Amino acid sequence: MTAPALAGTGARGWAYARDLGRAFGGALLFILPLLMTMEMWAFGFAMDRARLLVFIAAALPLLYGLCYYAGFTARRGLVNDLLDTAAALFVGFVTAAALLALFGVLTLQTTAADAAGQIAIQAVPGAIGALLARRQLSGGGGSDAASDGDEEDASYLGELFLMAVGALFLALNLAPTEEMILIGYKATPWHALTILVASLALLHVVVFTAGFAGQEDQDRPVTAFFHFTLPGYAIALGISVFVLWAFGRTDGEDIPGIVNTTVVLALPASIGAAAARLLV
Amino acid sequence: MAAAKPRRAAGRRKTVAARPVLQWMTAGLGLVITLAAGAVILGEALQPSRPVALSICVKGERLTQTSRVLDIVVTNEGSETAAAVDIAGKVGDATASVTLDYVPGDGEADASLAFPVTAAGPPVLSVSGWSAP
Repeated sequence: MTAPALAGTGARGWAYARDLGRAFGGALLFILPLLMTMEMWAFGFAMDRARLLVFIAAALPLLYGLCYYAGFTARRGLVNDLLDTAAALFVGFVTAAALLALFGVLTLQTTAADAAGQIAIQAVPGAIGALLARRQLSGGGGSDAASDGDEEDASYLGELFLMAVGALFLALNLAPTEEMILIGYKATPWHALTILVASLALLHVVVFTAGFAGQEDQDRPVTAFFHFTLPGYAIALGISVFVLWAFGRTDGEDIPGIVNTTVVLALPASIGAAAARLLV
Repeated sequence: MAAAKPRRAAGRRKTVAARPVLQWMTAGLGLVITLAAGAVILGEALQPSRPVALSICVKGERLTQTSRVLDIVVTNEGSETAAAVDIAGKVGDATASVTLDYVPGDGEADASLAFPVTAAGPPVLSVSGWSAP
């Protein structure tokens, strides 16, 4: 099949090919730190399979939501968002597999089950990167200009959803590392409380700078605190505990231990939640 | 009524034709790959878990200027992954040990044990312990 035939309907086909290329760039940009983290290689084969499936299943609606608000093509609509979701997963899987093979993590001796786990766990953040590529890597030209700005019209729930994506993105980058557990062990209850207050304060400051709070809330910091900062922090905590559970970081821990580690991870997660506006 | 049908059909055809073939291909591949990966992981999840069962096989032996090196392969016949796997070796009176970060379930890992050049005799190798990942 020739290149024009592959691209399909002429100019639209080429525009899609460009969007797809940019999606690969976004995936690469977002998962390189994870691909070069050795704990992530081990999670690929050591992670509980039921939890890995829950992790992937939970990512699917999130990816669809991200398509709705961002997407790596400018077109919108249910069918197009579903196609973009599947295509983003394709980009995530291919990017993860290619780089893991390039780094010698995947070899011919790797079993299919291990390879599936190692690639799938990286493909999810890769797909998120692919969907954020249009926002992050677009030079402002091309086919995108027409329908940019969907996230500007996000409802309140939509804003909270975007916060969850931002929280997940940063939490995913840090939760696999041993350091999260170590910081959790080293943190006394006073440290944990201070981290909690600092997370709330940072979240509140960035919420304002990034413009999460609407114009009417901009002059009412207390209202904005209850509308965005507190729910945002709750989302960061929820995402953190989910990611820690998925990676088995809560196993064998008592409740105070889990809370300590969750609060530690929620610090970067809440910054991710607050900065979601800048990412998406 | 009869005139309305072709118009609707034509409209639908126009919408479908506007989507590039590449978009359908990448979406289709994404769906297939995701389902395939999910099926492999689900298949593994549904299988009964087999505990770690490690065995050691000598792959080769070579002499360097300072050591008699045994290249070994540690195989895990179980489905569970073993972490921090300690391997101990003995040749005559000389001992050596090595720790592997992980030996995946149904997988294997390579390692080497270095003995003094003067060490003589058949190697005796054993796994002295491991931990859950």
